[in-house]
Amino acid sequence: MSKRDKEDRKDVLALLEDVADYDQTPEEAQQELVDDGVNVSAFLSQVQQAIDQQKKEDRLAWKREAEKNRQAFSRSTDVTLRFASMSHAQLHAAASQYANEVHFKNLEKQTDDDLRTLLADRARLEEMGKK
Amino acid sequence: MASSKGVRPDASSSRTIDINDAKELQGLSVRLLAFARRRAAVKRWWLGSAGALAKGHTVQDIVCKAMTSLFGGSRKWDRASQPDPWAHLKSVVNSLLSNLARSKENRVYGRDIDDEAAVAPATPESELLMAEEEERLERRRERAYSLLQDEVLAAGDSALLALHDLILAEDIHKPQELATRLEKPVNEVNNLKKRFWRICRRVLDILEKEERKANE
Repeated sequence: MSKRDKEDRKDVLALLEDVADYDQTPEEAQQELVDDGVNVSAFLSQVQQAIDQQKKEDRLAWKREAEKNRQAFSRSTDVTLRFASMSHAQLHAAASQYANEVHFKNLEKQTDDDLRTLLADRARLEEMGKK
Repeated sequence: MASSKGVRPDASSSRTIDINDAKELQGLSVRLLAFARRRAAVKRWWLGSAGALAKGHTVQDIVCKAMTSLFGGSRKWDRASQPDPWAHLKSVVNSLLSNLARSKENRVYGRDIDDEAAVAPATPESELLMAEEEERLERRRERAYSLLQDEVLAAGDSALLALHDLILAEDIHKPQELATRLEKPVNEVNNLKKRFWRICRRVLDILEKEERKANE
């Protein structure tokens, strides 16, 4: 039992909390609620609305995440200069490190500028990943 | 986005629950509301009744929040760690109710003071108020348990009395353990608990009436 559970146990009538936990069929539960004067139909509409809203938010979560990443990327430092003085062979060797993640159709045919952009973007993403 | 499709075991009835089935979802919702109302009724609320909790929340709000957790949000259902959606829902409701019951807004005394004052050293007045509140709660607890015992004795059911003693005197709550001690199958213990809860409700109602009268 956690410290918090123990503290809860000291609360008034806490011993009865588990009495309140018993198995019920949906029909029994509905009858209990109706007997207590609960408007079950209104409650079920409220639940359905909340679930629909949650599903919508979940569907759009990728969009928010993508926007957050885009903003973080634009805030990160441009490190193109780090690769400015590299030769074509050096750029090619550096880009080859990412062979598993980056798939150039014709890596050997890429221009030096393309490779510099690729390496600079990778460096920025790695930098962001560390934060 | 993780798929919300899922057929999971329902521990309470040894069958499966499909959270994408509208009827199943409604069944879960009403069972959870009934469960949450009972759990809330046992807790102490500043506003005095289980319908209105703290921070402007109602039990229905809590259940809605829990139900949405099956599909996303900060308390999203983790099927790997808890395959049973019903167990997950009960745990979310328990946690939300517990947080509200322990919130500053639900304090009986000192609830109007700001956060800075809340961490200030206790004054003789605040200590006196705290002691009075503790004393009041102790009296309420004693009154509740005494009423419960009277009601259970009046019911004249030895199994119910045995359940009462195991829960209140020995603090035993697990259905399997209760079943072993009572030498009854778990489903019979479940029915006994239902009857015991009805007595608890009567006692809670009596307490509420008495408190209202005392505050008049």
